[in-house]
Amino acid sequence: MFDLDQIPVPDLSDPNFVPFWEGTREHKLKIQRCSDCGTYRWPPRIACRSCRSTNVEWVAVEPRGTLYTYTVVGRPTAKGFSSVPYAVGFVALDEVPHVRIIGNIVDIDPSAVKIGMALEGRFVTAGPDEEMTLIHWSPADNGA
Amino acid sequence: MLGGKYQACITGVGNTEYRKKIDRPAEVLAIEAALAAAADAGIDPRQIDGIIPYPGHIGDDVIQAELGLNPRFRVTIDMGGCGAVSALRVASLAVLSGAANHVLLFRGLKGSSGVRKADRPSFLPGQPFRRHLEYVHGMNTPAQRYAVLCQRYKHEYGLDRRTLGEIALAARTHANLNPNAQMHGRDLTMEDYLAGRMIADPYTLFDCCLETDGASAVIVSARNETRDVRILSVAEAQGISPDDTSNRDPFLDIGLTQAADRVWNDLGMGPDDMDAAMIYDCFTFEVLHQIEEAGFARHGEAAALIADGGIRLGGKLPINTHGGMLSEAHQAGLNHVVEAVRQLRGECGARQVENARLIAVTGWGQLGDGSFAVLGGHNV
Ligand SMILES: [Zn+2]
Repeated sequence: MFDLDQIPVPDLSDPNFVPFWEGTREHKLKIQRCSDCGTYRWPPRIACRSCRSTNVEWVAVEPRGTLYTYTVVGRPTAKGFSSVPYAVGFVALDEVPHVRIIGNIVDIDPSAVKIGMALEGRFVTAGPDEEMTLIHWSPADNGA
Repeated sequence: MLGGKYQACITGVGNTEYRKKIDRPAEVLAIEAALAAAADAGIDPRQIDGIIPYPGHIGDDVIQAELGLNPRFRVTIDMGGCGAVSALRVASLAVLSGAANHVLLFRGLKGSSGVRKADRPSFLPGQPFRRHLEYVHGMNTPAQRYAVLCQRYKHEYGLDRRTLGEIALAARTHANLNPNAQMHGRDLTMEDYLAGRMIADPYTLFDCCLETDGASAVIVSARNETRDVRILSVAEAQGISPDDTSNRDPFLDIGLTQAADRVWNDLGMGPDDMDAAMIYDCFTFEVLHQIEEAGFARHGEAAALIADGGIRLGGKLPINTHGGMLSEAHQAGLNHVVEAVRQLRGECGARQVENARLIAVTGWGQLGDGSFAVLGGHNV
């Protein structure tokens, strides 16, 4: 449904994002945690908003969450997304509920997407040379 | 805060025609609007000694060169659509401090003839976040970014499509009383609205603002004559993490929430004192959202104000009597300032708010930067 090979690849050497993209390549969702006060943060930042520390570690969290909000795009506007409709939303992580990850909701008719639905991440390679791995979100298996 | 005995005034406003596909370049349109504003203020254009342009568009250097100006004060306000009202504040500071006497704010836009919004350069803050987090998931337009705000509101408070529809219809009804509006003479019914094609759920075609060719201008001066419109108080603020909405908590927090609070406290006035409001209407829901954040209704209760003609001319709080960006023109909010001034001077003819004395104006830009002003005529 997506033109995965046409999705624009960001600067994967951006130091603020290197650990994230290295993580997805190994099929892990890694986010930042302050080394001093333990506060998780996303999107990645230089300093901790709670204690101002710049000491940071990247930790892998379960790619499972709940849909916080979304939209269904009805008119194609983005490179790599010529076929509509598709859903994109913010996923609140089960393990760290105040952290929300932006992603596409897949394996479901976009008209059936609902806030509050349980989702699990799956890792998909994209870019002209498959140079990045994206996380797409599918409805979670019941009872999983 | 600005206010009390320290008041700057809006002394002149001007604009060009608003429509699709105007042949003349944006520079020509901007000059036309600037000269109209100077004439309206009753000053020689050479008396303009301060310029605040709209970032990413025609610069102050062009206007300076073309009009042969020699400005003492030039500043750019990088807050997108929030900038029109924010510029009222900066211009007030300039004229009250003596840094300038007459500050020109202007927009010259070719929104309808230029490249599509999604293909234009982005001036949003947090560009790495846009590239690493949004573009890779097909999220790259304001409609998509703001649709997720609306969708969450709908989940928390409930929201009928017809409430958004009434915002679009009220704007169109007002535009039909405004001969210069881009959508003048084009009726819009609820059936039309509900049949609009999907842009980004829940936004359909009629939830989205226009793209316009045209220009507008406003002059703020150190002058306080009977015809001048006083900038009674003005403030600006940003949402938590102005470069990211995805992890904002509370999620619907925007700069306007704080900005409006400051203005109400400064003036010792409240929403009920306003005779009308000009609300930055990039999308229908953002009117509702800002109604609540500016205090015109409590959270979750704006729909009651919007129902039964509440935001139409003659209603409890007429909103965007010019038609707004939904139906008059996209001037990144400067046309809202122009309309407030004309209303306060009683120049609006068929769309005049009876005895308008106090009008609130909002600005919205970037990822929820907000600005808020209360303007007053000399009949207050
Ligand atoms: Zn910390």
